[in-house]
Amino acid sequence: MDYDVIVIGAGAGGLSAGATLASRGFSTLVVEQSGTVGGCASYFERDGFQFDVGACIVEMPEAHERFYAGLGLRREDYVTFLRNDPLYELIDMTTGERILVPSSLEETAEMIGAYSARDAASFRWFMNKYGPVLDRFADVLLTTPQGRARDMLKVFARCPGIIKSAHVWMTPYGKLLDDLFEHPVTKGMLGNYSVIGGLPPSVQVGLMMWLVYLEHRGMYYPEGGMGAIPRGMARALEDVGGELALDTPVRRVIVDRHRARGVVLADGTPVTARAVVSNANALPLYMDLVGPEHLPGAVVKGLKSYRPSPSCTVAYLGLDYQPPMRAQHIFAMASPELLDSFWFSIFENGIPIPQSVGLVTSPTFMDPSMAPPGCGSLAFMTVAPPRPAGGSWSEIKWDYLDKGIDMLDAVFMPRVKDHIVTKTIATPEDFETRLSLPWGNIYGFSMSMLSQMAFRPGNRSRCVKGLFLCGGSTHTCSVPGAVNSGVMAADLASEEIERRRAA
Amino acid sequence: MRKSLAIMLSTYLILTGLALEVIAAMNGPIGSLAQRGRTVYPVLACFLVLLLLALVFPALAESDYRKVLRVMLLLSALGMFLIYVFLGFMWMFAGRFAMSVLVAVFLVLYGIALVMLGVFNYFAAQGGYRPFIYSMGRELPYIYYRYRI
Ligand SMILES: Cc1cc2nc3c(=O)[nH]c(=O)nc-3n(C[C@H](O)[C@H](O)[C@H](O)COP(=O)(O)OP(=O)(O)OC[C@H]3O[C@@H](n4cnc5c(N)ncnc54)[C@H](O)[C@@H]3O)c2cc1C
Repeated sequence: MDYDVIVIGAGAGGLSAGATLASRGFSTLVVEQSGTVGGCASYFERDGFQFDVGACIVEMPEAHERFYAGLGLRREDYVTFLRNDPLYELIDMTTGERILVPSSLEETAEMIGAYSARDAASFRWFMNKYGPVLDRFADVLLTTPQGRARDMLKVFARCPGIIKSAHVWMTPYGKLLDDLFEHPVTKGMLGNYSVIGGLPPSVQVGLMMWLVYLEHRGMYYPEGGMGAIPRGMARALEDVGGELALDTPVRRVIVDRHRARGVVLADGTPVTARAVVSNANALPLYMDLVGPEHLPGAVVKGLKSYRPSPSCTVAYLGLDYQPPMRAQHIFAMASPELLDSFWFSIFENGIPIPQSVGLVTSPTFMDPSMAPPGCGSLAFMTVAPPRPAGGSWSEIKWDYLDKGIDMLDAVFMPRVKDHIVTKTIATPEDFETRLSLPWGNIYGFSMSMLSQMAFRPGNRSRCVKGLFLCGGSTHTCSVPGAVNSGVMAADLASEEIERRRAA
Repeated sequence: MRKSLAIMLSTYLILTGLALEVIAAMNGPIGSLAQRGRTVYPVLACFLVLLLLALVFPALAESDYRKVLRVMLLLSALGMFLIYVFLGFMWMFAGRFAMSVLVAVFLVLYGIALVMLGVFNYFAAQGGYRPFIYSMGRELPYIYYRYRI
């Protein structure tokens, strides 16, 4: 055996699994196809500016604390989180009004109270009543391995509050907002969370209110940019004795008699191991790396049945000044009905809408060292179809970028156009080819209820022994979700390796 | 559809479903013509009412629910009719005891289906729930396959 375990992919999940396994004394190799670590939470440099590839918001920093503590290390030695206070600014797309959303629930209730006293009371009531339940549920869900019915039941058993209030969580998000609130600003502000959670308000579950609660528990940005998270994790991996190989794509998982026995690299080199952990999305993992010939027909059918979570474009702008902002992030605010109609035009009809700028973020607002002295940077995201109707992303992306910049200039940041020194864009097609993310979708698979928990690919493969999965396609995802899932996959893989060593 | 109409339709469907459960539970061995009548006529009446509802209610529903409601009501009416024909046919062959079991099983299952239809209609008739329900409906057939992964 070359290694005890090979980890495919150095996203947040893969690094977390690799470091956890290495810290337990298993010989561990993490192989990453690209030249940097982090996957969706990675970074790149251009003309002296450092940009975040995708993720730019950190919630639940305790996932990182837990991860480092599990390695016997201190998180502070690897990554520093800066708190976002206020959380973000909202721009009402109908009136142009700008609203700062504070970082505590009480202050947010007061902010809502400026528009409607009734809404403020409802917000306080809801958060007081259900906040602790949401808190507990997020914690339990994100730390319990998933894949089987009994895992799902375990989550509910450990968080009975979520069952008692199931009628609330099963109400469509948009309806819940209508039932609880009356003012368009309250509905617009909270409606955004539905989209951030991966579905439009009419289809999202009421449970997504947990994001509102979680963000108010603390929203952060790492010093040095999002890339500081995977860089810190990669350093920790090496500190605990693991190996990392960049620019090393995996072409196949070696499967023999329904058991994973290692991988074949793109250059044809076989590397054997007692267990394989995959951070690659489950669809390319099973269909390309494992191969349908090793899978039962039902599994292939299940894999093909998944719908994508939303995909998006990210535009990156280097500026010759730090743009005037009151918070790191600016979110566009629209009514839940408008969000729905945008959503269906984009994802059902494949219509690219360059003006659908939903989030503008400035990394240099938090850490000026990410740009040359005196300069600043911006990134903005638009929700965008995986395959645009009537063309391909490579044909339309530069025009799309320019139209997005026009929108930025007109609504979010007047005259920003005059300050651009470098610009580029990543489209769903880019995310798909560079990160092997099917459809370029940002959360691995759809965030719908029937694609979660036991209905999402399990952390322990049910059809290939010795194969474990972590990351976006296995767990309700986000950076902390991926970090947690890596630890859980490592726990399951540890048992397997011990068993195989003993055998 | 107005909420009051949705409630009316759902209440009817749920009550009919429950009534079928009661008829099933009270069914003893079926022998005499009168006993048969007590079982058969309610089933026939159910069929006719469902047919009538299928003609009236969809016209009162929103465009994205009209077809769904019509198909569901017609299917349940048709199902009821088929049961009626099937039971009539079986009476020629099955004994008293076998027949009573057969009737009870059919009525119980059909009653449950109607109750479920009533509950479904209550939610689906409200615009706030419909996209959510449709989206779940599209994924429901795959959950077994997903579970296998
Ligand atoms: C644009 C965008 C914005 C986002 N914003 C946020 C945010 O603000 N906050 C947040 O919490 N989450 C955000 N997310 C989601 C979050 O980034 C992801 O859920 C999380 O980072 C996924 O981590 P992961 O471990 O699943 O792996 P990924 O990040 O998907 O990484 C998988 C890695 O595996 C590698 N790989 C795949 N196949 C192979 C192979 N065959 N051989 C070798 N290597 C391979 C890939 O190159 C990649 O590096 C965002 C995502 C995107 C795309």
